[in-house]
Amino acid sequence: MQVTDPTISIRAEPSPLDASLCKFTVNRVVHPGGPFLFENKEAADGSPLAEALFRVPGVAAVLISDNVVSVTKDSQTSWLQLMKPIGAAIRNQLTSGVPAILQMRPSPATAHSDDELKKIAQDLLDREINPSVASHGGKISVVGVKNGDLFIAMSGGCQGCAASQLTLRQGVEVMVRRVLPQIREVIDSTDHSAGTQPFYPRET
Amino acid sequence: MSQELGVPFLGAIPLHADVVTSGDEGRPIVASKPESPVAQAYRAIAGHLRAQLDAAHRTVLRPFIWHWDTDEGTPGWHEWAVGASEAKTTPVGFTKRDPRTLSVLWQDGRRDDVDVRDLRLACACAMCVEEMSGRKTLDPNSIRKDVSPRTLSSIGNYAIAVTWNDGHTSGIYSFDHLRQLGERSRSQAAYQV
Repeated sequence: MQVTDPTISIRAEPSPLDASLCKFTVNRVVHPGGPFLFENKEAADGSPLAEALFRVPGVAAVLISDNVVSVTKDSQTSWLQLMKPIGAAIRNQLTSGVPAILQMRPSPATAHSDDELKKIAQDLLDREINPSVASHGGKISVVGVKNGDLFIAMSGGCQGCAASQLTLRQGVEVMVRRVLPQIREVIDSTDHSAGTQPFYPRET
Repeated sequence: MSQELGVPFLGAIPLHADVVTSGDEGRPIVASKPESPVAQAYRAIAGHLRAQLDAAHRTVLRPFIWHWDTDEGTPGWHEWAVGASEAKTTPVGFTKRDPRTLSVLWQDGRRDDVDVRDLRLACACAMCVEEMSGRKTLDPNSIRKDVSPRTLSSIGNYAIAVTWNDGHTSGIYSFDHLRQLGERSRSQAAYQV
């Protein structure tokens, strides 16, 4: 369930010198730091906004620098076809609270103990996910790892919000799986109907 | 008289014997009697002249070496200098609108926003343009998507030089060229999406 935020404004400016490039300037930061260049679909793997943009047919490359998204298209598609879906993808990303880009590389595939997995998951949340979630008034914390299942809890603006489940599924889970392929399941242990954050470890 | 000639009035100097004497002795009155009313009048004129020159197009932008990433050494954005003349190719401000956009303010009040990759593509140096025919030899596909300036620096009062993160360092953009590029960018429709 996405809510359109009317305060987000996006201006599309096709390049006068390179017909395959168009710059989308947003009135807020899309992702701090960078620039982040995604020259193909594979490079976008794990970075939600880049993935979403590559799902738009015709998108060939994506460059994200602060509040600017420069998109390169193939020669068969016209900007007039592409602008709306690209704008919508950027808007959805900003509304979701999920960071646009994942910078952490996948952790080594060697087996990790629950404790090690917990530490990496905590790092991922603290460094890359929570700064973005915090701008929406929320926070996601690691409750624990049990037999390879990751239990997380959402608090603040996320808790009880109908969109928070979606935020979790679509964004955070993708990132966790990218960084920690060893995790079996990501389980939201937040009680979305109460003001507390109960943690119910599953029977093992 | 200044009105008749159409030049700015800078100030009046009192008719005073000290001016003549100090002049004859080779010691300017501003040095020999700095607190005298006459010396003050001279200083006021110098101040007005300085202000006039500052407002004139040549001296609005001081020489600069501007580091794009850190914004260190930025030439500044001098809106007060707009309208001092109708000069279309005299910049009175440069700024980084965002990491991908160079904005130029011209003395006639126009503002141009140029994508930095477009700036790279418009390079008119001998390596990028065939010297005899003027034919562009730059293929847009050969230029990195994330090409970005390292430094922009002033060249006299007619151009800027740009060094790039793709290693290209020979590009010089005359203000005429920059204005043309700005006009191309401005004529390109922008859309709210």
